[in-house]
Amino acid sequence: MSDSELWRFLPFGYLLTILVETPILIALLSNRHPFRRRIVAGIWLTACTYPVVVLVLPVLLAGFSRTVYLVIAETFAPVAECLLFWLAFRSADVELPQWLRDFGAIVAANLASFITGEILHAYSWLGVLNSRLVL
Amino acid sequence: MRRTVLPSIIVSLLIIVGASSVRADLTPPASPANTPGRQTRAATRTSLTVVPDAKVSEARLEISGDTLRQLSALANGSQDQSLVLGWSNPQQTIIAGLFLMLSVSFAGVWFARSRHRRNQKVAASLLLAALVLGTAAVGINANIAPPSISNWRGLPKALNEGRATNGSVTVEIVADGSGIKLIIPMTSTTGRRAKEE
Amino acid sequence: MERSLSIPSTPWLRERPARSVQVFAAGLSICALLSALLASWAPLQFSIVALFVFAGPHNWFELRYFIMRLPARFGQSRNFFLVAFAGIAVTVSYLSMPALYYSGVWSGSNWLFALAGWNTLLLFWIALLVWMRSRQRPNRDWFWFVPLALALSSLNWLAPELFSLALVYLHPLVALWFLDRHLRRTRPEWLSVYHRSLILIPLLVTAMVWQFAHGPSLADDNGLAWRITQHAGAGILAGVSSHLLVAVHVFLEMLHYAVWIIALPLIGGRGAVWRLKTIPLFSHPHGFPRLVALVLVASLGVVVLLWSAFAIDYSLTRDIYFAVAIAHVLAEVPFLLRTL
Repeated sequence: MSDSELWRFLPFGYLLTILVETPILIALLSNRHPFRRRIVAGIWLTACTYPVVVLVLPVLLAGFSRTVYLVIAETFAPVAECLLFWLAFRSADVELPQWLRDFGAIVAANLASFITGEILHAYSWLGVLNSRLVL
Repeated sequence: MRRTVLPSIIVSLLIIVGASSVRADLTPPASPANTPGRQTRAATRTSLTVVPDAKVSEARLEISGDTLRQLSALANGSQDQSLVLGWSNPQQTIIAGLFLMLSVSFAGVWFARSRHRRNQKVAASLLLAALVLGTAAVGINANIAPPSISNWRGLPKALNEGRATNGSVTVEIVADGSGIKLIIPMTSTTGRRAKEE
Repeated sequence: MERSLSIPSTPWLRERPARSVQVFAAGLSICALLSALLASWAPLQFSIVALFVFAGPHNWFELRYFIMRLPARFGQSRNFFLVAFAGIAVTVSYLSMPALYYSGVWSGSNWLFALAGWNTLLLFWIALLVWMRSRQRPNRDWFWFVPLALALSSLNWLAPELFSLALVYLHPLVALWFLDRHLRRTRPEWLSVYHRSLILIPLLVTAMVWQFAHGPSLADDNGLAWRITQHAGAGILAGVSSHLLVAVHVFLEMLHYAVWIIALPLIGGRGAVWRLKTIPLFSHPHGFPRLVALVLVASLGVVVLLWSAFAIDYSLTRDIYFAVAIAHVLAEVPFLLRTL
């Protein structure tokens, strides 16, 4: 894909990703997070990592296989999102089990969006997007 | 929060220096599906400007050096995908993507940690600005403009008025035929889309 | 009789604004309208004349303003001004690009990369100044500027030439911000009139766009005309009429000149521009009166030299001026921040 095609894919892929991930975060994040924060987390965390996953890594890894790209991207995204989540919402009175639950929710959300993406990729995005836009 | 400003600037500078030494070993692109009745080797996209000029007596085709290199790579089946696919500059895309990530990350962490209620208004303004800038960024680089046909729809009128017309074009190298052929999407007077040759 | 006495004495008409603010509003409007008309009617010619007449003097007035705003003792602002003066290094790095190219040291390849890198350096320098300024006010949190600067950096790397062109068009508007801050300090009662007058600017620009967007471009078959259209962005925005680009650019530049040469010196000033005792750095017991006087007189000489150079070789002088003038663009940043 050319860089212009990557940019064209960016908004579509981002919207789809947050549609998948946000409900999972709403359901699974620990009780200390109010509802509004869960929605914001769903929108914000993906916005942080998506430019790297869609723009930076495909260009950096253009000479590598798709499998290598997926391994690196899908490792980077949840790790970075967990770190950002901790930076944003850290507090002295939060206990380890709550953090583990939050990080688990973020990993689960990323896993769900990854699986969704792979299913759509297998069906050529149901013809909705130009197949040349498919990663 | 304030203690992270200087380190973030240093990190950003390191990103620029590091990205400048990035080299990607690129594999040849997958060739597009053959269109029945026409065999093509590979295709790429670039921009085309049609300029009517009353002062000249012969038609002239001007090709920029960058585009010529792109076409040459296309014709030779080059290993450098960035040349063939017309990537403006992979390093620029990498750095732009990294800065975008840093921007959104810092904005979110700052908003979450900020104690000032007034910052909610600032955050809303920033979000609006980000949407505008983001749309501009996607528009600039995705060439999100009206589809190609609407750029060329005004070509006849522009030619009559002596105005230039600019639009995107797919460059294909074909096995048969000779010379250069330009196919412009037009709507017929009945409103139906004209068939391709 | 009793009824007339019970009628409230508050006037049923709003109090008429003072004459001076009416003159101010009229002056603003006339200046904007006249600039827009001249820029639209003869953009190339107006650009040549405006630069010739006003470029040097406006730089001199800026220099005087900045010297007036410099404190006699830096005190807690010492680090802020140190970083501000580091802008000189940013300026030198900008000038080094054409210098290295024309001297044959650099081939000019990766020009976009170099330009984007310099724009990023500029944004980081501004972000650092903003952060340092915010630390001087405990109840202010300006950290939001960091993500904004990073987002602008991202845009810059996508389209460095477009970003630089945006700076060319936005820079003239900075003078309007200076005037706003100046009025807040010296004539706060004029602010509402000033803000309402500013609506003229987007209206005039919109009118220019409506009039010239689809019109023919300017004939730029001679070197100077080509330089003017390129500076206004004709090479980058190839699909836009160069008549529109040059007209809008010249219009904004005229507003910039009018603020620095007329508005700021005349409104709420402490006296005539030649009265050096109004400058703290001159009149303070620990100041530098001779140095201040020398700098101002020498810079007057530079203005005269610039006029002479324009008269001898306008094109070459224009090229050199716009390269060196980046220094005054950078100088505006710390002094504007000091007013916030």
